[in-house]
Amino acid sequence: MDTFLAQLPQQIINGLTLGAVYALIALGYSMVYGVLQLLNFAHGDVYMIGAFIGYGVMVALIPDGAPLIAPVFIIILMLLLAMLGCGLLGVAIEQFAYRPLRNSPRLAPLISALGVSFFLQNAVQLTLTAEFRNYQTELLIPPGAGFDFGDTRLPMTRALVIVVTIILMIVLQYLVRRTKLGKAMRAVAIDREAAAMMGVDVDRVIVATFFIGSALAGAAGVLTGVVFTRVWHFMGFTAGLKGFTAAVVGGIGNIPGAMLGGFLLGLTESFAVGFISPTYRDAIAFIVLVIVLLVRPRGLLGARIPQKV
Amino acid sequence: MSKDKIGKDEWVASYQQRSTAGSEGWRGTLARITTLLPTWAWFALIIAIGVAIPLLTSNNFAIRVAGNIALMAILAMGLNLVVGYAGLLDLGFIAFYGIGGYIYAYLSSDFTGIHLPTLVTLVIVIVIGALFGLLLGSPSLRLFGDYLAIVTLGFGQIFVQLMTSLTRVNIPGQERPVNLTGGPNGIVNLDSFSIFGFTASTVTDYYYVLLVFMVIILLVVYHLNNSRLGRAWRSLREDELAADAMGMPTRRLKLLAFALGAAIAGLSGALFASWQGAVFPGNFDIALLINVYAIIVLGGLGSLPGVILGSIVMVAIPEVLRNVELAGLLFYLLIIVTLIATLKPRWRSAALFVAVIVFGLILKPILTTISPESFTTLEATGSGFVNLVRGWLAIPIDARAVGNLAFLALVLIILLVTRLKDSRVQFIALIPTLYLLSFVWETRLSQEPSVTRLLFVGVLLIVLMIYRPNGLLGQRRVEVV
Amino acid sequence: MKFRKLMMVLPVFLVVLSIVIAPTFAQSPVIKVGILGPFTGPAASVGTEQLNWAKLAVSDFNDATGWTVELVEADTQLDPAIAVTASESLIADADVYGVVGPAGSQEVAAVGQMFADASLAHISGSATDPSLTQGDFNTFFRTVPTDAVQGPSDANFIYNVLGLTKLYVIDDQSSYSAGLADQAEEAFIAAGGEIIGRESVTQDDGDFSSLVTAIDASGAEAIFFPGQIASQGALVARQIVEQGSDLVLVGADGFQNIDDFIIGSAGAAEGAYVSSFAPDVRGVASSAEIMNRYIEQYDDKFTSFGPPTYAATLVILEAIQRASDAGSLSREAVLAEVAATDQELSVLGIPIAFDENGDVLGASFYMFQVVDGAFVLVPSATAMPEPEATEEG
Repeated sequence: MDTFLAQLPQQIINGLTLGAVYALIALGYSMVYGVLQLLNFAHGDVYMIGAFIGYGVMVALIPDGAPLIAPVFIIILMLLLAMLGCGLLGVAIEQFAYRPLRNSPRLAPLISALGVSFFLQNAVQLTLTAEFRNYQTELLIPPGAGFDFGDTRLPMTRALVIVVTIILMIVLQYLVRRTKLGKAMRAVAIDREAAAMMGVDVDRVIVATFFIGSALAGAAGVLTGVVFTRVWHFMGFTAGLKGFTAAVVGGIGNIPGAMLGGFLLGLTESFAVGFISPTYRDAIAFIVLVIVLLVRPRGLLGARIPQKV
Repeated sequence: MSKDKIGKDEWVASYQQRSTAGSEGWRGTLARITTLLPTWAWFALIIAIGVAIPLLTSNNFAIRVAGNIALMAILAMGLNLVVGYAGLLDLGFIAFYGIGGYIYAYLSSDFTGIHLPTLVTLVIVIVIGALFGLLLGSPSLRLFGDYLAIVTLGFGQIFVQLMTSLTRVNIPGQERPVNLTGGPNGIVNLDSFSIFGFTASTVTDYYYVLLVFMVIILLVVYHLNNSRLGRAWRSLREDELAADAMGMPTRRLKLLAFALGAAIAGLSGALFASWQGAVFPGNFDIALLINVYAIIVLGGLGSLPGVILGSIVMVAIPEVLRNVELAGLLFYLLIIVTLIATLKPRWRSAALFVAVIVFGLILKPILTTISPESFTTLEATGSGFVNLVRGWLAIPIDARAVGNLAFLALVLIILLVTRLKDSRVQFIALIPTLYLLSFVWETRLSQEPSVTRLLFVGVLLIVLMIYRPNGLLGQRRVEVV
Repeated sequence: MKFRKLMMVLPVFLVVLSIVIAPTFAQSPVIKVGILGPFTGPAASVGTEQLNWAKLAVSDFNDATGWTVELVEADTQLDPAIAVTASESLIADADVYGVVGPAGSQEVAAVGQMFADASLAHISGSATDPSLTQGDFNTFFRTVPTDAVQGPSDANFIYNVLGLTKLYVIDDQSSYSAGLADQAEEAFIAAGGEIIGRESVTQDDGDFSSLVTAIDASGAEAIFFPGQIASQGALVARQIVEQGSDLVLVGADGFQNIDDFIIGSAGAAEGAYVSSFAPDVRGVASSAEIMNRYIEQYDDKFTSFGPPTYAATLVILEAIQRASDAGSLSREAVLAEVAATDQELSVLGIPIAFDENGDVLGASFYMFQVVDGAFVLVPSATAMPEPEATEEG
């Protein structure tokens, strides 16, 4: 019990860091599902491209082990460019792979999304090879930097991830709750046809949704690179699945739910590794999530949407 | 259809025929062709073609690919039941496939020492598969659509995880940890498929076994489709609420679909295990699931001939594309055919080709005179046509890096070109696009056939979905708002 | 309308066309060597590296002899079922006289019988499961020693040389890693040590903080982590340092990568041990030329999974050459020549010859320690004659 309590704060920090990344990915899934009822399986690969964009920026601004400008600006630049790039990529994907399938049976855009996923992964492998690349985080943030609370250590990198994620979420919430665009997004999520009849430009809303969701995934990619350093063409696969899981567990289509689901998944995984067994980490995490779903079949915060006849 | 049962309304029964056979265009023609022969004759034809394949070629690779097609078709038919008929998004379907494989391994190998006759094993596999289907299905049906997807996905992942990791299990009564599953190195040396004295040993033997099973499952599913159960499933798929309101036992129907789909998957898993002679956790990953989903969606959900067509497309095309020269030929052929089909009037495509060739012939000398040191030639290959094309292109020295950039540029340009409305501008834009296409192919894509193969499959999926969202042979469905 | 009709028929048309055309691609007899490996998918980094080394071997051979041998790549995506189909495509091609690979032990287990039936020799540069050469796969060879050699060597090193008796073992669920970890665990117990725990992680894990905390609290003195991915080793090393633990990290070939392991750990890997079934190619003077060509053509990041593939490819090429010179070029003849291989010096800096099971003779292992940012050979560790040069990073 002693070691459990002693380890607990550290594991919580680990869990929150992991959860932050999952939450950002889950948000993209949830937002897109909310307006289109589409499971965007290419989302994980958008995250991967975000990580690569961040890597590219880092390599460009740190030519020989010496940062050209202050590290904090480099990080901000990495985030902004990755978010912009991924946002545009998301919009492009929507335009070319999903829009023609707007009125098709549900599985068609799913398969199209899979095709996009294949394409992105292999395009990256073709142009950038399959080798692993590492963010040189130690050149931006000294490895020893962090905060100590007794025995527990909060490294600066993890603090950065959590803080950035919270900022992004606050911004997103503001956007969704307080702006006209957010109102339009909520309207389209509730009933697309009615919103169109009310004068909402549905297409514009959908484009905006994809942009924002993909930008968040891009940010997640850069943050992953900063903390976990390893970047490669296949990294979007598992992360995408986990983000999807988190989104569903939180209640798909629900934005606070996606955040909650992400953090829950991250914490569950860290606890499973630290206190039970790293080998069965995924199995344990899934079991916990299945239990959550069985208790709350619509997800943690999923709304009861009455089925219309 | 004349095999009416008593009480079945003729008019209702012939609805399908009337609605499609009377229609215009290719669909009507296709429907009319299918009515030329009674269904049993079509079956016989498929069987005849299937049987004939090993007789026409002694290329084991081709036979093996054909065997894979049959295996995937069986698996896809099972998934078709769950997704196409009952409308349930099961993302853990491959776990049932794996369960079937591992049960076969446990019952027919030296791993446990049990060597049951194949027939008995198959029956056990089917029963256990169905049981697992019920097991997974029951609690999950409280959930809706995508929530079900997560639970089944979790099941699929946990299965692979367990099979990989249960190698050191402490069982009371045993002093050393027991290896339950063989871990990443799986269980090997499985008994061959052996039924009624016939033991399969060569690729051709197994192909016939798979063909036989494919036909059996085809018949079973076909009859289910035409039975009350099939109609019940279809109504469930069309509108669950209405079906429920009509008093149909929706929950039981869904469970039945789940269980039957799982049983079929288990059976195909056992067949697969006997063919490979081993099972590994690496056989049952998500890539396979994606493949099977692509098969049923491409073919058209709920359509049996669609499943077979989908299997052929998704299995054969990647295999065919292994051969680089062949892939190159198909690549150019595809471009030519697509342009001929889309550009009207017809003379435009011919003009376009001439324009592109001329463009290349002009471009190369210009570039090489500007900076001769930056250009080189690619090595000669066996095919004359390819050498001609390579000579025609201007190849920079750093072919790899330039090729990569060209690839990115190509993707952007193609996306833009498809958006252009003005056909004259489009025509002009297509000239450099085609040149770039050939350039990227020769410098990068043909150098990495394994990656290109998958790129091609990805693009194929996107394009096919955009043009045939209901699948190649699917029915166009009217969505009532 | 017509376009739609075309789109439906097109795939079928293309497939039929290609099946019909395929036989016409039988050109003038060309000599081909096949290579099986995971060139796409999650293990692509290892697979493409092996592919590049094999390509280099073929082009070096072609340049040296004036022949035009072709390398045929067959992607397996590390799935044994795909490996079976891919192998069949190579076996069915009568111009293929030898095959390099498959890369993974489970793939070899699935295809070994097929190659044996076809009398087609195949040499792997990375499949280390001991059981593969103890069965009926009489056309299977490998240029790397098995886990049964490396595992006990590593365990004995930790117990006897380092004097650490409490070990925690981790694997990354690949068959390479799990096999080696199993062998090491058994040997460690046999030597008298205590295994505190044994766990698995996955290859895309990025977070080892929880794991290291738990291991530290368990009383273990050392971690043996024969992972395939060097950057994971770097992350573990970082955690050990960050958490102020005094655990000793021992890895295997997968970690023998300066960029990913040493540099990637930002100094945390200092003092860690890495065992390898081959000397660091960078330190072998006789291979410097080959290495430079690789760096020039491909890139300067390579791991210890690549060079053994180069060696394997060259073995096949030379066997083909000898069989052809003797007048009878056939798969059986090449097989016999492969078995009779007696290379004095390979790219790995050691001679290559096979025993009657197909295992490479003179199997040895080398233990390196990270000292001052470089891999330094630990002299007391080698059981066999040391290679020519000392290793420098």
